[in-house]
Amino acid sequence: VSTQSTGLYPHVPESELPRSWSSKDRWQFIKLSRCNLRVHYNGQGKTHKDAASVRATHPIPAACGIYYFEVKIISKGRDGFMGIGLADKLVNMNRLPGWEKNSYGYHGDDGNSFSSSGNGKKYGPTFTTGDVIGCCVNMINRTVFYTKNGINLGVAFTDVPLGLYPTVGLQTPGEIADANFGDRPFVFDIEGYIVECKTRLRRDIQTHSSSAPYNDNNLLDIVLKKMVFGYMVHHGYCGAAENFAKATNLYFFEDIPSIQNRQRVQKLIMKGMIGDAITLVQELYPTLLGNKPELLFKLQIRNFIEMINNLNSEPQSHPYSIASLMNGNEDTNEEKMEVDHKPEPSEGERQPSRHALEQLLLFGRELNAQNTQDEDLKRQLQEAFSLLAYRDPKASPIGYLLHPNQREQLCADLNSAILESNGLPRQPPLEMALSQTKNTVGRMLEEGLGAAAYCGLDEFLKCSLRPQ
Amino acid sequence: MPVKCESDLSAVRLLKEKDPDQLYGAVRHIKNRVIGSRTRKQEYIDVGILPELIDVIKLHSTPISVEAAYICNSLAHGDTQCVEHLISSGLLETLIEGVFLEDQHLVEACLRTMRTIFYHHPNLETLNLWEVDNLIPRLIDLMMTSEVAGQCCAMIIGRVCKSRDQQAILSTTPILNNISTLLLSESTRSNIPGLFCLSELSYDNHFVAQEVASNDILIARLFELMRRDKYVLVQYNAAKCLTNLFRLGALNEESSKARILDTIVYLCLSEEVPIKHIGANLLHELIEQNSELQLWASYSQHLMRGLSRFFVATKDPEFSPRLRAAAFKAFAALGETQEEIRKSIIEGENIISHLKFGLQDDSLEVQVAALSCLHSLSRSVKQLRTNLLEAEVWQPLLRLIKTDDDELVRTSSRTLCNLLLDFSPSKDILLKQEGTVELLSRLVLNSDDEVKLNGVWALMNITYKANPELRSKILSHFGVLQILETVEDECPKLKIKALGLLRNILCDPDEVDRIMTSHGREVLQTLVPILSDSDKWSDEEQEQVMCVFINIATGHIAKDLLTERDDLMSCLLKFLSHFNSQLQIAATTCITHLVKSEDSGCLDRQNKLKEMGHFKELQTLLSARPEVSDRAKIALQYFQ
Repeated sequence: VSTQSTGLYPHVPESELPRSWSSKDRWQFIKLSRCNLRVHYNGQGKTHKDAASVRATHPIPAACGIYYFEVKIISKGRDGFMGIGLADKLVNMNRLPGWEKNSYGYHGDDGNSFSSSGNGKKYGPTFTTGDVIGCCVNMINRTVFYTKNGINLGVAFTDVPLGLYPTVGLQTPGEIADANFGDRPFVFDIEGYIVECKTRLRRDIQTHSSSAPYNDNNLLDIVLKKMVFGYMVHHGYCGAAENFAKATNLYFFEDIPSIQNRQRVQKLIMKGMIGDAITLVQELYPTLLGNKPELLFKLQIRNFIEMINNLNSEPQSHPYSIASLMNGNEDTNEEKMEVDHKPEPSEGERQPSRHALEQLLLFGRELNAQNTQDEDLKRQLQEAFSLLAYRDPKASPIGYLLHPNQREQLCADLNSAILESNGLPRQPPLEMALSQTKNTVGRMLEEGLGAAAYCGLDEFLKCSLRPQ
Repeated sequence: MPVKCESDLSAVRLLKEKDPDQLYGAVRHIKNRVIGSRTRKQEYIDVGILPELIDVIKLHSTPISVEAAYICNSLAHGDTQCVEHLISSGLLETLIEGVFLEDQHLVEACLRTMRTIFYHHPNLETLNLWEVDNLIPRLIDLMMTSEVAGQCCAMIIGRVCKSRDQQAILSTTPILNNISTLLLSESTRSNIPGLFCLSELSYDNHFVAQEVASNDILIARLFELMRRDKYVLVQYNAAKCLTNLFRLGALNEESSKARILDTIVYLCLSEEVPIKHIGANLLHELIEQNSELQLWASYSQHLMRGLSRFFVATKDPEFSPRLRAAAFKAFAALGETQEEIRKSIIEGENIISHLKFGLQDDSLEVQVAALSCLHSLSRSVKQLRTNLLEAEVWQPLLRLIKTDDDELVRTSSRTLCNLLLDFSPSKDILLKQEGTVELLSRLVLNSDDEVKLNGVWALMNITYKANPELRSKILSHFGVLQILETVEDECPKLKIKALGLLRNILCDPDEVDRIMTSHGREVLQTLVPILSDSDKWSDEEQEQVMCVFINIATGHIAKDLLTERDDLMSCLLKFLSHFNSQLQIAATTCITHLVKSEDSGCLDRQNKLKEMGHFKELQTLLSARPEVSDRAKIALQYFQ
């Protein structure tokens, strides 16, 4: 069942969310119905000792960031002594929310808020039959506010702990309330509130001043420029890097031809001309592949896959063999190699030539003969081989292997290896900073920092680039 | 190749050049010099650059004229004095000429400059764009030529759309369509002028409001523009448009008002002073005359506490009074209808102490706003008897009502009316003050309709249960003839209050006889025609007149004076069978007084009414609804 709440909490699996009241975790005077969403009071209701509460099935996950639920008062019963709020796992259920330590409540009869105390504080209007009361936990700043019929009543509690359960408490006969944990649309515009929090958070991040050791703006500026420059050099954006260096007076730590060479290699790989790429690498960096046999093997597996690609789109093929790869391949006709733009050959219309098939099998046998011991490489090779088992490899479960985007990782690996062999960093610092940030945000989510729910790096960058 | 200029002065001299290169060099030089420099703007104007610049624009030659227009645009960013110079030099006329040209660049440059003038100086006396042939239609056409043109035209048209007629003219053009384009743009620069123009068009205009409301895409976009990820002024202007629609009842969806309120409350609680200020003013517009929204606002996000903080001085001395005024206005709207809210304003937010200062604030705007807040609170019987009495608010009121500012007199007299109600203890205190009656009588002579109304209203309040001494004092300042004259006033509200005043004056039999002896003829001459002409006079007015006659019928001599008038008696007969039971009851009560047996001559009067058919009609009323038949029974008892 698709629910509204799934959209609200993208970082939290459905199974960890409170979705109904717990049939076990309740005081005896509480009766549940309607899939454990409706709460009835069936005690004596004489004194406050007859109060009864129920907790939701799950505590509120901090990774929700902002959590919200609503309770509709179906009947105020005799006196309408009803409380809506939050409670810790250990709070006594023979009480209304808010009276005990680590419990918080908003009460209908007087409109007061109760924060771990029997004494209420003046908070909002009273509520009764027909009213819809919402409770919102903001885990970014650890505050709670309530809503009445869609109106935000303002902050009720601050510094609330994490791990609280939604709870509702009743005290007089006839009191009935229905909960909405997100299965139906809310009365309050919670999405609008989340947008407000996200916007505020983004502004806080943007205006946050960098701390030591980069409190010197100048120094930070240089670091940032170097990072941008490093990114351009790494990926071989030669002209851009050159101009950037000129404009910012940066020292060029790799010569232009070297960048251009790396770019040539990358181009070949991205076009699927793996054989040519290997030849060029051998030419430019004669010791590189010899020192990294597993990289070479990966390149060869990819070559095998590209041959299958060609088999299905090319009537004519080139001589493939380890030997020919090592000696270089003369065919540089780019047009022919563009596999992804060509229409699919319909079955039976165009059979791969017998020669090409023979070449492929021969090459496969050569690869197999290398008898690699690396488990990962073994698996990769087997996957590549299994493509042959399918009549239409592209439509097979491992058809993704044939997609040109599979070349990117290989391209990056080769590029990193070349840079490393030249004494340069394997990964550009800018990308390192990005993945560092992504990982940090992920860790923050795991540790229950609510703000992390709305700090997704991609979204943040997208929004920051938008003109205001 | 443009020529480089040696100095500012030589650049101005070069404006007279015929050679395009030299001229272009000069305008480029000047443009770069004036942008961002207030002093240089003034310097250039002082050396007489304007006539030369206007001539250059008139060449209508791109890019020279475009650059010259941009210089003027930069000058228009200067102070008011600067802009006055621009206008007196005939710049606007030249720009208007420019917008009719073909050349898109030159048209845009002229539009930008006009926009700057109208945006920054809305109150400046400029020529009326509506009187320029075809200008407004041209601007509307230009809106679709480019995004910049759209932005400029929307701002200009929004600024000059000031009357209902102008709204009506605009609403027959495709302008709403052009505004939608601006609203649907992702650019804040387009959204703001689009929203601004729409809010001016839709303000208090049912037709435009319905047009907008029936366009689902536009409505959805307005709500989207109100979201928090939008620039705050976009949120504000979108909320303003939606407030206009809401006030006109054009928004159907129940949840929409909560969302508008939520945005406005957010603006009110902003940390930025100018945003708080416009937010509170918009709140006033949204919730006035809507008690549900007043209630919601009263408990939304501790708003009232936030508004109280407006009274704390800000760093910007110019803004502090404007904030105070906005807060008073917001509180006035909040407390307009509900006792519970008034109570929290007074007791929770300690408004009385702010009011005391507010009523003697240096700023007129604050005084007026504080008065309207006081007026709102004075609608509460309980507050009149407690907090407002204790605070002696009558004192500042008496002072403000004597000032010569119309708005102050209007609001203070309105408030004074409430303070003079019978259940208000301030009434006696005020009446003990020297000159109160004179003061109120003077209000009646005021040329302002509302002040006049409040004066009569206040007099009506103090004559209620007044002692003979006070009554004669009132009559000496505001005589029966004057009251009758007021009854014949065109304003319906004023009539009703004047009749109420007359009724309160004619409150005991001796007073009735005295007045009817001296002015009986005039009273009857004025009042009887009101009863006879049911087309011209409303039931409410006729009922008020009947109340006066009921009081007159308690007099001794007066009874005969009334019975002698056949036309009046026919009216009573007519009312006995009226479909409005209030008039039936009034007529029955009046007859009861006339035929009461303890008075001399009652038999004659009874006979006359039997002859004219009143007796018979009363008998048929015995089968009417209880509230009528009960009274008919009483009247019939007196007939012998």
